[in-house]
Amino acid sequence: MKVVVVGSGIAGVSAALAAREQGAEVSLVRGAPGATSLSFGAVDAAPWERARGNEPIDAFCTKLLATLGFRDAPNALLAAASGILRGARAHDEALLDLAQLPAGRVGVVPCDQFGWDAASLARSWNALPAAIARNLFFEALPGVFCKHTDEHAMSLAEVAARHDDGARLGWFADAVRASLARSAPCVAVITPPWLGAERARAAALSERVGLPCGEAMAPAASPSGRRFEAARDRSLAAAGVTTTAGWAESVRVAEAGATLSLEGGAQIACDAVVLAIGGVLGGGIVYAPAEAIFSDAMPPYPRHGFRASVSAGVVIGAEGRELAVPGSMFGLQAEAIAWPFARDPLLDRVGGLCRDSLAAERVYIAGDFIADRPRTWLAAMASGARAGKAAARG
Amino acid sequence: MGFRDATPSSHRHASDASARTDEARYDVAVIGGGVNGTGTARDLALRGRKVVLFERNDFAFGASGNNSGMIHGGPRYMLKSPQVTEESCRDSGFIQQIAPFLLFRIPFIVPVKDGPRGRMMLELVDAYFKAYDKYQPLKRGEPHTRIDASEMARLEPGIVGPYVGAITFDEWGIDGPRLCILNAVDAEEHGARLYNHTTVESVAPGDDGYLITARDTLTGERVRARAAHVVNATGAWAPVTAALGKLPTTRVLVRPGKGIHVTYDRRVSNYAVLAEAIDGREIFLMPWQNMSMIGTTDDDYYGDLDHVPSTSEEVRYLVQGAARVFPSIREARATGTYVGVRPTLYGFGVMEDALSREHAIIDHAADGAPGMYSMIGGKLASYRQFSQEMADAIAPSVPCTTHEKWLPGGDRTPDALALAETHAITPVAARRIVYRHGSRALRVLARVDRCPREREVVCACEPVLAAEVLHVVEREHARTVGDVARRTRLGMGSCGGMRCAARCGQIVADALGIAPAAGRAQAREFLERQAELRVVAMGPDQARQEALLLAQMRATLGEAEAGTGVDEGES
Ligand SMILES: Cc1cc2nc3c(=O)[nH]c(=O)nc-3n(C[C@H](O)[C@H](O)[C@H](O)COP(=O)(O)OP(=O)(O)OC[C@H]3O[C@@H](n4cnc5c(N)ncnc54)[C@H](O)[C@@H]3O)c2cc1C
Ligand SMILES: Cc1cc2nc3c(=O)[nH]c(=O)nc-3n(C[C@H](O)[C@H](O)[C@H](O)COP(=O)(O)OP(=O)(O)OC[C@H]3O[C@@H](n4cnc5c(N)ncnc54)[C@H](O)[C@@H]3O)c2cc1C
Repeated sequence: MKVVVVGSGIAGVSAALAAREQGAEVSLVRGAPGATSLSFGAVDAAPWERARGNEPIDAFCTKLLATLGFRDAPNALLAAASGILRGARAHDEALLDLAQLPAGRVGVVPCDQFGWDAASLARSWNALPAAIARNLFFEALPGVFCKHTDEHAMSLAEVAARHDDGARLGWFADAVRASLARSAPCVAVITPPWLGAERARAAALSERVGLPCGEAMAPAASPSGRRFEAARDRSLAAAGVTTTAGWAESVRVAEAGATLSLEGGAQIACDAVVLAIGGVLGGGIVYAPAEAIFSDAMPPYPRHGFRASVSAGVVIGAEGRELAVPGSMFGLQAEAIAWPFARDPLLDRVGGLCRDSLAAERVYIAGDFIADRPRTWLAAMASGARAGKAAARG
Repeated sequence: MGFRDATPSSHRHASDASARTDEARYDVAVIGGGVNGTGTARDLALRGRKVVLFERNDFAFGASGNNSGMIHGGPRYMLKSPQVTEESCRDSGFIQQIAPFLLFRIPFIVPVKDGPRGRMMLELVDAYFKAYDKYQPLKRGEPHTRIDASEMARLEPGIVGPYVGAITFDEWGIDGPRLCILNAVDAEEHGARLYNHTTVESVAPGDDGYLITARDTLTGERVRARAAHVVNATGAWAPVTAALGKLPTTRVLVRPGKGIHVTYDRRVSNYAVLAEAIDGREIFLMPWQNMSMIGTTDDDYYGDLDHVPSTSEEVRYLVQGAARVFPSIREARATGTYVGVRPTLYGFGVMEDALSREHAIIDHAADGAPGMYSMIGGKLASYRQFSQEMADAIAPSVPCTTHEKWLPGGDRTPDALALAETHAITPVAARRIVYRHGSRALRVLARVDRCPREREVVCACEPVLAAEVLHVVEREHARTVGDVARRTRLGMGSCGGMRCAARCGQIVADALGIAPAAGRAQAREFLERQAELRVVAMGPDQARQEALLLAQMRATLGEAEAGTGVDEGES
């Protein structure tokens, strides 16, 4: 059995490893960074405000999380640099899980950098019911934690990469210890998102400091996605999955098998294809309204504007139905399909239709690419595992 | 536990709506903080009058902050009423003198179609702008030029089509919100009292003058003030405002003409290009500050003026029209729209002369309300003249000085590159600060010398530093994330505020001592309003950006309204 997986987000990795586990020969086509690479290290079953936080995770996914450097932590509580505390089902090991802490003071490492104002964050977090209920009190730590002045202008990911160096992490640990010695007793230390770009360095730091240490989630430039990519590449290699960089264009199915064509002409023959190509955000679903393509006043035919980035006969729809041809020559009205006009906007729900994970002959789909599936890590991981297994079994 | 006691609880609540009487007696109460309201307040304050200004939303919230951003000389009026063109050009020259840093040159190109009458049209357009050249020196404009098709292709390769040639002419761009803020700040520095986010709810005659009752819409607090004169400068809202003073709304008729602009992520052309929409109306594609935009529509609008929508049909109308001259605009990335409602002078019952002058002052003495006036119509370009006429009616004995006194920061324009070096910030950030603040850039940057962490780049698109956010909160009456955006263009770039809104909310909350959750609610509200204005122009790339913004909102701000999320809300 030969399985080709398209997409290297969490759904693609999950599918590739699941197919390997079934004994299939697996190769994976790696496109561009998608949603997984842009996420911040929180793992949920549903958007966190709608989730319970203690949903069951099957054995395969539990193992995969551990391989990728994530902690299985039901009812975890994470801090975010936007000033909130939020629940999660599991998380990047670099993040500090506040639910594990006893009542007390949490030191916040300051830095003069990119939107991280320790005093302001402490004030924000302290006002939240979750902090009050647990008797956690956040306070900025005294001292300087950036080693070089040029770091003020660097992105979080760049500084995170510096902490991959053991000596630098040691310097940082010393700075934290010295600061703790000058402040009131703390039960834990929370840092900007900069504890390693290759791996989570939180455990090493915690050991050297003698207290639980970890990051808060930060939007935009979080190193968590980079850590995922590094762990992904390690685990795919270890499992014997061959990876190819490229952009898939189409899948052709014949009696004997399927052929995947890549941009540039390369072709891969296989028995089954898993499309784990993401939603609108990941690039698996392309939004191309008629007026953006045709410069004539009137497009030649009406179209709803959504298509898959790989043409493989997968039906694009939502709510279990194929998207209908719109009543306008110009496509769907943007007002009707996007936030904030719609709370669960089509833009975020549209995807491929499938039964179990089969979407067309020899074509299985997974992750954000599946219509109506919650756009979360756990949903992507679980559907990836299902698709990989089904594809390998044929 | 003991350490909790240390948390300060300086929350301001909307519920403690205590009435506050502003004890001072004012000479003039100005209602409306658009360019005409702030301009009038400044003029009267410079004449030594005691002024109070009420603005329902924020300064420049209305037409003054949502227009085409041009101080143009009005070549359109040249045939019908050349004195309007002359006045506009002269006033444009004055605005350049008092705020030189705020103006930037916008060269225009008018392509002329080939065809049976193409040559003749070119001659006509050429002659027309030859006549306009006469007024150009008044506003330091360059004379027009006439170019052939091949020259045009070289200067503006994006223009595609059968053209015989083109005419170029010269106009000036300006940041409308900054113009309003600077007028307001100058009024304040000459003794005026400013209330923004404070809506006037009633104007009642009292002993020697009027009693104005207003409400702070953020705190719920009531404000009462007495003034001898009242100026209704509420633009398209003017009939509503007149009704609050028990005046017949028919006395202040405005035709509310809604206009939208579509904005792009960068400058896509060198020149502002004139084009014709499908119905023959003139529209333009124009580079403006660090973006390009297409403007504009003109449709009657009778909805809620505090929440005006733009629609995908309006976007389509503009993009289609612009693409007829500049086809590649369809491939450019539209990053949003903005929308304003023109307070156009209504045709009925107004003197012909007033109509042709585009603005009018209505003296409500005739309605039994002596000392009350309404200002209707106008343009950014002629706000100073209009404000002068208003102030002349109220304080005729003191001469106007608004054409010779600098607006704040106008005295000299510092060298941005030198500032970047001395204050260790990026040259781009320095240029933008100098553009917005003129010599007062030095005050903004003095902050980073005192407190280096204010060098933090809050908005990377524009860019905007923490120091400027704090400056506009402390010195320019910014009270919300949206207010900061209006003053600095924070969050107006291609990321739609995704990277900066939450952080800006923290800074605003800290600086004003309001609850952190209120700062986050402001950030959410800003992101939501921007998304409403943006998705109507959504193309393929922007769709991915919308999905990213939503995912990020969900992950770090929560979808809920303030206070209803699992861990959201205040203790
Ligand atoms: C900012 C942000 C915050 C988030 N926060 C959370 C959170 O707190 N909790 C949570 O559970 N989830 C969160 N998510 C959602 C979660 O990250 C996604 O649901 C999940 O990562 C989707 O994984 P995926 O593998 O299906 O898609 P993706 O990670 O998008 O992977 C799809 C991949 O396919 C590739 N691809 C597409 N088309 C082709 C082609 N034709 N050829 C080759 N390759 C192709 C793309 O380049 C991409 O790499 C967040 C997402 C974002 C962006
Ligand atoms: C699409 C468009 C493009 C334009 N292009 C240009 C151009 O390029 N050049 C040019 O010169 N002119 C242009 N104009 C015209 C120009 O913008 C307006 O004429 C001018 O801004 C009007 O200013 P204003 O102060 O009268 O009204 P506004 O700016 O609308 O101000 C009225 C203010 O009153 C406030 N208000 C309302 N009710 C109350 C109340 N009860 N209490 C307190 N405050 C209240 C509102 O919140 C608002 O801020 C354009 C206008 C539009 C709409």
